[in-house]
Amino acid sequence: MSTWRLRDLVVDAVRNVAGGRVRSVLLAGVTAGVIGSLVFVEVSTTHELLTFQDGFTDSGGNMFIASSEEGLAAERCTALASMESVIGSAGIEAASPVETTNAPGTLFGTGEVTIGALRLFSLEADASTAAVAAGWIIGEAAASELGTSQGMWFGIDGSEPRRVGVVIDTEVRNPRTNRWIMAVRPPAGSVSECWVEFTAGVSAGRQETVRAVFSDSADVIVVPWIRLDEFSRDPVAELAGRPQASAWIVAGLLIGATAWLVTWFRRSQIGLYRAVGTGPSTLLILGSVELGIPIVSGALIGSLWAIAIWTAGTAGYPVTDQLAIAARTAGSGMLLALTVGPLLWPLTARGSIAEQLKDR
Amino acid sequence: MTGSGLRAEGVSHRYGTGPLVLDQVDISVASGEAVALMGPSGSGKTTLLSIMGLLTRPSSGVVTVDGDTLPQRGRTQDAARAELFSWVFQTVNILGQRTATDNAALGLLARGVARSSATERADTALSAVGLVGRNRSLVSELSGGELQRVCIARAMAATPRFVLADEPTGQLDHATSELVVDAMWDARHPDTALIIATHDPMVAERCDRVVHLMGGRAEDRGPP
Repeated sequence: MSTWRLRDLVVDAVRNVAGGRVRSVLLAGVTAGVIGSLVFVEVSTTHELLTFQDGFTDSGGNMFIASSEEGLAAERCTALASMESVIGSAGIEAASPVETTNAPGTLFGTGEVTIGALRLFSLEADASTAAVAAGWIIGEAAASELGTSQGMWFGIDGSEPRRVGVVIDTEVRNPRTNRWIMAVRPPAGSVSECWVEFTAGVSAGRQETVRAVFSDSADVIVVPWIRLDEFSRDPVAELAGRPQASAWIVAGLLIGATAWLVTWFRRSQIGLYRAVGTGPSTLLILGSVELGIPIVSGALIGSLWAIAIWTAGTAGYPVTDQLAIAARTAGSGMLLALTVGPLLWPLTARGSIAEQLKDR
Repeated sequence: MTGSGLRAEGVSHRYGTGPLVLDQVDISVASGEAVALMGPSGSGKTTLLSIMGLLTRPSSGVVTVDGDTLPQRGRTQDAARAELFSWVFQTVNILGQRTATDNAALGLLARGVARSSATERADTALSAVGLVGRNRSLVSELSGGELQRVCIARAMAATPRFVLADEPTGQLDHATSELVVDAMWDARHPDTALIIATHDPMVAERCDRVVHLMGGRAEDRGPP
């Protein structure tokens, strides 16, 4: 049973596209407009949301704090860091305020923290430095008042002086400790608080996860660490709930409908292909190539235009995450159109060829 | 009854719930034969051609080639349509904005002939119908008579066993009609049978036999 060679079929489709310039340009133009608009809206919206999300994450928006008057197992707290979707965890045990040899008469907060606290309390801190574990960890405000810096020595309450292992700025992620003098403690015994930071994409069940780890502590309380001025916003939820996230369905159907319209005026030509023995599956391939060329090229042109206009309007370049979100939305719309559009080709093969040939 | 060539046996057809257009029609066409289907408008000439060429499924009856019943649906029907039949329609069915060669090669390509070979054979067929030097022209640049000759070239290039022509001169003036009919006979392979639905006595005179359709029935009237 002989039928079209695939290469010849594709060549025929390409020649039909080149020959039917009006319909090809119409379809490509509609696709460029629809996909371009979608990309522009996505890039514009996600710019604000992603910028906010970065700030939200940097401010500790994905952190949770477990606390208990009975104390929490430090080992379990630090083990949380190895869980999926957890960036880091650290235990903290506050102690009484103290005076230092450098600034007698001035009280500073003190406490012991597990090593993970450096990463949680300050994004700039390097927790891998061995010197940190052996020396003091000083909040930046405390270091400023003490007139000390990394590498200098001092003691508290008359004890032996120790070297300053690191000075960290905790103003954003834990302002309380910015005026603290801290020492590293091993992950053993109990701590009064356990801080846990999750990855930004995870939103559901975070509090419950932390609570479950310390379920044997009757009075455990787990609260999110959210800056008060950002209390009402959840960037992950806003990203997921943005209206255009589902607009790819409308976009795809709109382009698909235009493809059907373009195909509808070619019923007699499709009938001619059928009359010479072209079967429905071959017609589907022919239609896919004929519609695919203007749809893909239109989507590409529209997307590039949208990004160019946004870039010109904001004097900035979209970041990778913005482009990825826009590409996912626009790509979904395009794929839907490429699935729906060519279906009319084989569908026309359901009726009488003789009748189809009379259509104009 | 079996035999070589194309046969329609006991073919009846009605559109929807309308009256019978064809009523128990029997007709046979031998290889290499030219048969004119004549009759008034609405007598079922086009319908009978469509059924014999597998474009329309009859309400009842069968179509056979060399005694074998042809399939009425599916991929085997597509293949049979491609292998056995070529068409020349009254209204010029053509791929607009494509060249004459592209159009003439269409039937060959649908049969799996490689494009280079199909193009060569299409150009030969275009020459045979008198379109020398017009093969690279876009069909949108051709006259009505030239377009119909492109359709004839498309039908003949594939050297099918049966060419079905539905009023091929119906929309042409007398002089152009003669050119088109000459083209059909000149380009035809000796074994290719022609079945032509026509009102034109000039066309019928060129045929070996005339079958007259009236009231849904067929009457073989022998040579014209």
